Amino acid sequence: MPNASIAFSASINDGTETKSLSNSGTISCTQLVSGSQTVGNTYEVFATAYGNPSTVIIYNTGAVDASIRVTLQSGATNAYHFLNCIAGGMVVVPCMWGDDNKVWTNLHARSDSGTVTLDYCIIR
Amino acid sequence: MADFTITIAVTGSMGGQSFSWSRTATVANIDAALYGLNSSVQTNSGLGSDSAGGFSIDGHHDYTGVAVACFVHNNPGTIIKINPIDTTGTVYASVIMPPNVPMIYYGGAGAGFTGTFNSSNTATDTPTVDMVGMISAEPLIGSGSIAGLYGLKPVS
Repeated sequence: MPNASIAFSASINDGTETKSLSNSGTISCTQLVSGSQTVGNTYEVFATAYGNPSTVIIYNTGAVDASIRVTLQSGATNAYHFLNCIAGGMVVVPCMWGDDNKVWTNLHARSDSGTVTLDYCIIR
Repeated sequence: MADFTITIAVTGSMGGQSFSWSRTATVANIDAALYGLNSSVQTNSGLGSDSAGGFSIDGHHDYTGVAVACFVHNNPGTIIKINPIDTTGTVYASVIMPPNVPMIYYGGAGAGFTGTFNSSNTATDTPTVDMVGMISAEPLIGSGSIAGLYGLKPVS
């Protein structure tokens, strides 16, 4: 199975020193997808897993916050987890969530107000 | 005050074709930063709790929530579950972290959503719960290390 390489870094110079966190490694995947979607202030479908565990990285290009909604299905009941992707922020949605360690089935996104454009990368 | 900068780059190659994606996110006006390493994640250990083997930032700041927090581990064959906690100790948005996949959380920054996350059975909910910087980390497979970097400033 092919691999995708992920390089991550975070840093801040707090006036005394630079604190940083970085990591580089690979994850197995069969698909890599990138794109961009504009959403309004009610939840819209952003991505589906199509039954394949997927990791999604989302970057908010806009000037307002976005809410990312992760759906976990258990029979007829849905459980949801929500993440704040602030204006100019970036969040990662790994494939498994929650107390029962479930693979998510759908991602939805909405803006806090107006519309916002979200860039994304799917590793599936 | 300083900028907290996060960059993620993804590259791959399949069928002779190359893939590349990279973005940089910045949170401005951060007042203070905290960094922590937990070398051996045990059941009920915490990056922000008082559990044995954990790393605590509890009491190290007076903010009502973190402005930004990110975590990552790279232990081969290890899977860690992290459980973010609100001010009452309630767990929200638990997530399974395989190696090399970071997690990033943001606090409400004034205008916009007021919290970092939420968990419910209501499809129309939004992030309204603040994260004070406390998570518990537990091993699902193996026992590895995890690192976290927090940025602090007033949140809504």
